[in-house]
Amino acid sequence: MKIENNYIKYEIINDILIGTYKAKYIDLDIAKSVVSLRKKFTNNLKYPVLIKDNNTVKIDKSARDYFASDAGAQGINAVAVIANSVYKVTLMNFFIVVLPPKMPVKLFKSEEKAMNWLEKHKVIFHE
Amino acid sequence: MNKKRLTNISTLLADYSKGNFSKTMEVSDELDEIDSIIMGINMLGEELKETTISKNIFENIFNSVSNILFIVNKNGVIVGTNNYGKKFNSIRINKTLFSDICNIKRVENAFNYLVKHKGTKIESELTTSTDKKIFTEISIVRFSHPAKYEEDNFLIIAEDITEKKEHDLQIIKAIIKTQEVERQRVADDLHDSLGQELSSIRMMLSAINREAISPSNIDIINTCNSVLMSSITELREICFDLMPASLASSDLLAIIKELLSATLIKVKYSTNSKKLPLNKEETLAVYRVFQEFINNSTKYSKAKLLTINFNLKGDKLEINLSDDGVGFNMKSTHWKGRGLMTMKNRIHSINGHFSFDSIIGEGTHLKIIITCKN
Repeated sequence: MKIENNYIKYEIINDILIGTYKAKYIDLDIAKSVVSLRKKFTNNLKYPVLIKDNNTVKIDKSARDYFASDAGAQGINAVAVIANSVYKVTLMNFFIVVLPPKMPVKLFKSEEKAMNWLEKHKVIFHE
Repeated sequence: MNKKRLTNISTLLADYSKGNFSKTMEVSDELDEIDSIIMGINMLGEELKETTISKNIFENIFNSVSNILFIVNKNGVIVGTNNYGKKFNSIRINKTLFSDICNIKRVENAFNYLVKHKGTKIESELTTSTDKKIFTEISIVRFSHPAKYEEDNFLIIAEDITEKKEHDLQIIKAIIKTQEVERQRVADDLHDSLGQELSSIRMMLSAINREAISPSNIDIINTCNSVLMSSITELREICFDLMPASLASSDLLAIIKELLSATLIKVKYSTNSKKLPLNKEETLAVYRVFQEFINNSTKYSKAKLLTINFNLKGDKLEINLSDDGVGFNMKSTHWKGRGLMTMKNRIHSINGHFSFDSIIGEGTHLKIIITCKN
């Protein structure tokens, strides 16, 4: 099961939602589009989420605030982020420290370890 | 290349130090360690910009409101004030206690009292550095502003009601003046019409030729004469109550003595001055308060002793008046009907200080302080 737009590609594998960013710069409009697509794709159900990206260089202030808001975080019960460079670790750490998320968030270098950690946060029954 | 980027980073940090948060630096395609620092600084700039805007909005609102605002820490120390509050130039931020500039009647520590009465508007006096009093209505709320103050504080909002108080005072003065004019008119009318007529009747009764009248009719005439005498006396007392003739002299002590002569309660009287420097308006106000107090003591308090003391020190006259009656509960509402507001208004109308206290079983005490104009 997959869906995508210009900014992100989503797929659900083994009850884990995987989001791969395509956008280099994320502003508020892109952030809203990304969240809207996720909600549509998951039918507003809760999933643990794995975030991957190939290109993202910048997430601006308004986009960061939106991701950290109730609307932006709705439908996510844990986030694992693949951060395999100093640049991405710095970007995500800043995000986590300045706008503490409402759900567990952890950075991983390896996708396998990230998926194992997300296993613990799976929703067993969707109401 | 790296040297140039590091120089640009130091320039960017210098700009941020000056409050210029709109500048950013582009990251390179390398996305290396220096790029991660640049990206971190860019995001820091965005956060600081928003915080500064919030702070500026707060400062603008804080300084543009027409109320006096104080930020006070949990120990009651003033840690901030707005432009209006800066007229209290005796205030030393982080040193002056709010209670040192604020006075709430019958309250020892204004700050502690306010904290206990959060959400309530309380009348108080704020004192400026020139000892000028500002009448205010104050209230307190918890206040948090992490960008400016490290810990949670209190915001004290003081509304200047000096003009409103002055306006109220002018209304009270006008009412009192109208009352006194009316009393004078009624007293004059009674004295000049009814009083004269009663005196005429008395003269006519005394002119009756008693020899031509039967003894039983003489008895009737004697009874009429006696009732007439009593009516004349009563009329004089009513006229005195309405407006004692001696008020014209402004001699408060003489008028009070005249008033006390009619009471059955024992009086202990003392004064350190034989003549009090009061003008007619002040004399009349104090006299009316005495009249009301003595009337209450006689009617309700079952008092056996009235204690009166006049103490003149410079231009300050302190008057203490107390009875040893049953007293009453100040918290109950019906006591306000006993003319207390009238007494208070009378003294406030001459810019005097008025305090009143009553304890059940111990009696009632009244204190007046007047700054004499004469």
